[in-house]
Amino acid sequence: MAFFSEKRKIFLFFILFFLIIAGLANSSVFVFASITNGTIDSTYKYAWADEIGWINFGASGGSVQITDSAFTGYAWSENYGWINLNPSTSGVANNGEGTLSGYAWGENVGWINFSGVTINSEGQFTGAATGDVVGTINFNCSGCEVKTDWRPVSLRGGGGLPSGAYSAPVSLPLFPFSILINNGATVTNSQIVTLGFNAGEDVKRIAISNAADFKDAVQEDYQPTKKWDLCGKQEEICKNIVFPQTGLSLRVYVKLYTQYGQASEIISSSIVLDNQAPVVEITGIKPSYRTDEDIILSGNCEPNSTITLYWAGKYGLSYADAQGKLRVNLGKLSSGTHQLRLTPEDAVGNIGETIIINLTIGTAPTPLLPSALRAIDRLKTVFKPFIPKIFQPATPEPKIIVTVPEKAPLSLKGEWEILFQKQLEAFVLEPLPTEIRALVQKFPQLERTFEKVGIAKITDVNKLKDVKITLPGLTEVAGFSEMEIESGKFILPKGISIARLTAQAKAKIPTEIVFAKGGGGLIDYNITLSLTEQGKLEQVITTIVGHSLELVVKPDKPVEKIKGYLVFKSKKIESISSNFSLESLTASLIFSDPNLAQPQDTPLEFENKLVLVDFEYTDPDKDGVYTANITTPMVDGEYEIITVMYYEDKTEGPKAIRMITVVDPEGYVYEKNGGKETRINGAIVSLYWLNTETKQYELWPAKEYSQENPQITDIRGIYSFLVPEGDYYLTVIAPGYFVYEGKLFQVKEGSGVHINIELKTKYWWLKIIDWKIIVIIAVVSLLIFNFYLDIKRNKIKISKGYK
Amino acid sequence: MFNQRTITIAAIVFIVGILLIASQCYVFWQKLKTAESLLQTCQHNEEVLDFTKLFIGKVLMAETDVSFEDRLKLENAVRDISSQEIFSQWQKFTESKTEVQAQEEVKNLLELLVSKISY
Repeated sequence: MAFFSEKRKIFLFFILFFLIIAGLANSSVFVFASITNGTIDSTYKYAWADEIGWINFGASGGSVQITDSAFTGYAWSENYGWINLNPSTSGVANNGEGTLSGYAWGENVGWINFSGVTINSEGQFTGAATGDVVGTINFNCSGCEVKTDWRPVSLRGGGGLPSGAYSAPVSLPLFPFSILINNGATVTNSQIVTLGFNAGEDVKRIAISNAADFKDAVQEDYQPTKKWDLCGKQEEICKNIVFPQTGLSLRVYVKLYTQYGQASEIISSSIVLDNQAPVVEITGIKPSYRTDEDIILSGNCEPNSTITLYWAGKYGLSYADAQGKLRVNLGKLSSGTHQLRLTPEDAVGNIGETIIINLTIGTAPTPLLPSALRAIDRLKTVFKPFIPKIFQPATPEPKIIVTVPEKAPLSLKGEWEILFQKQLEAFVLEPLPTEIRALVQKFPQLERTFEKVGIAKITDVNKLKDVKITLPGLTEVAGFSEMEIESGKFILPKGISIARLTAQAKAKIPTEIVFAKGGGGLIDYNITLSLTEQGKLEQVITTIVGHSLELVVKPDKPVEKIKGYLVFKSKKIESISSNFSLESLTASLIFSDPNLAQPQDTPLEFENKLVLVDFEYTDPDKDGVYTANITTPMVDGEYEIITVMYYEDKTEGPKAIRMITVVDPEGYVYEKNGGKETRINGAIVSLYWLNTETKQYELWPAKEYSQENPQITDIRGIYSFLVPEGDYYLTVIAPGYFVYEGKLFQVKEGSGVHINIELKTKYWWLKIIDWKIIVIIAVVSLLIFNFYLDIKRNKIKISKGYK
Repeated sequence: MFNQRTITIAAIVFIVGILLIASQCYVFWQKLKTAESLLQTCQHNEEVLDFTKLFIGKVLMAETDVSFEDRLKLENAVRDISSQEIFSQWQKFTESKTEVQAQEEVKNLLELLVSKISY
């Protein structure tokens, strides 16, 4: 034990010794650098005194420290020795924001006044201290710079600093720090530009400079955009430099800061400043032209410039090419002298001086060419299309430029209203179409929704493209939205059959609207409104093949009969341009054209449609509510239910209500066989629902809705349920397969459950073995057996040979 | 040096190769033609839209007379479309003598411009 104790002592001694040596080697004592108790940067530590030379504020042994209240330690002058920053009778104080005051003392330099020295948010000393002996001590001059890691209190925030206080600004995840000049333009003709910054939320301040060393830059509050002078603080560049004709590239540098003063890396961007006006020069001009020849001029200008020409009371435009070459064809002019003015404008918008040229047009007629030359000219014209391009003149004659008269024509004078103001106003302020207004009247909920969404005029109808509206179900519109719960017994959310509706409830049913119910009249179908490409509202319901559908309609006037037609529309279910949802409802309905009952010319024309079923609505109890029961088609697709009301009043024509019915296929149970699916016969599909009273999942009581649960699949493997709103899940049991237990799903409105379910077989390996595999195994086995026999035979021969 | 069979095989390989390359060339040529046609359509649409944009911005939205610079731009843009129909309609508009006529010609011009956009 004594040995270990001795060893431990020696060990501790060495540790202590090491720490002391390390501390002394560094700065005699431990100094913990931080933004609250700072030290001087090991690189930037020299200030310049004009009388005594360099003063080192980070000298070894000087132990200079900057706290929120004081600047302490010793600075070192090579010629004058130590300067005490915290003498007993005075000392340099810090007001916490980096403004220094008070006096330092040196044996050989006397008192030095630090008023006028500040430490900025980057920890850099600025300004100057003064003394009788030292003169002026500059902290921020060419080559002299003193920096610390201490930061002003206001930049640090109060209390403990968060972890991000020491981190540089963070850029946005997808966009690194960037700066855009004039929104990414490459060239400008103004030295005042707009800077746009892309920075993270932690950026609070910014420093911008036209110089890479941020000379004369100041920190300012961060703004995402800022007007900036490309020549600011470097006027000498912009004034004295000779700008090339194509401009000069100027760069802007930016540093971003967090609220704690932590700086980002320097980012920069450049733009070409082209403020030089273009100069146009005409080099190719004849002393005089004839009246029967085109006036063609050539010259030079800044590349891609536009030259505006004015002559003979009209204006024309011409362009210099990428090489700055210019060729203009003014066409023919009458005899005399014409003044031509050319004003160049470069691509950036600098406008050059206008030059004036006098064109002399002579009256001399075209001299007649000798007949031989005329023939050659004619041949040239004939053969011109057949001459290869390489043999054609390099610069073809320019086309005659387009001109406009000096004065604008009447239609372009801006004095006329060339748009039909009244018609436009009438269109924009046109109220909603009649059918939509009627619909709104029948469903107050819809009115509220339209108010919220801001649909009031015909031009607002387009907004319906972006919303989904589900109309309330029959049960709700009849005033039975609240569920009646008997004491101790929970009732599934469901609609009420028409037969059970009171006369009062029936009176509330909107007229001329077809509602749809399923599940023995207990499930209200969900009806959505969609906007067709033609801007018409259309009602759509979605159901499943082979299910019963009860249609309910209440005519607005006494009817003789109501006929219904189930018409095939298309096999391919068209995507509805938009749907919109009103509110979450217990049930919903199939709804057909709201008022949406449209006058119908008799006879109804179905020539282009396949009528699958025609049926008649009946009203046995004479309550004015007509119903019809149909079965949805056995083939999935898009259908239309057309309900036609024939009124007793013969003067009233029949009205038709149309409703799109999307029939989805039933769900099926299958297993995968390679890339194919095999339907499973005899699978038991059970649907469970969440009983909200017991908080338990229970077998869904399908009998109440005239359905079966569980369902046993036939050879097609199909099943389907039409259910009211609630939380459900499916299970499937089939012999030879693992039990399937589906994920929970929610049904918001009455709709079909028809998910395709894949089962996994228990005996998957049996699938691999078929007759081909068996044959291959047999052949390989026989080969191996043959080899075995050969080897055995050889061994016997060898053993017999030995004998 | 080479026997008859070798030469025959080489010749067959050569001919088959040529045929393959020719068929590929034909396919590429067809694709090129389609691409060129698409490009022309796009360029035409762009020209129509350029003019339409100018027309709306400089004429329909103008509150004073249209400057000669803008008129020149419009005249150049309408000629760039290379459609005699549009050009004629534009001229009908600019040469309108009455406000009602100008309104009518504007409608016709806008309808024509929209109908000339292919997609």
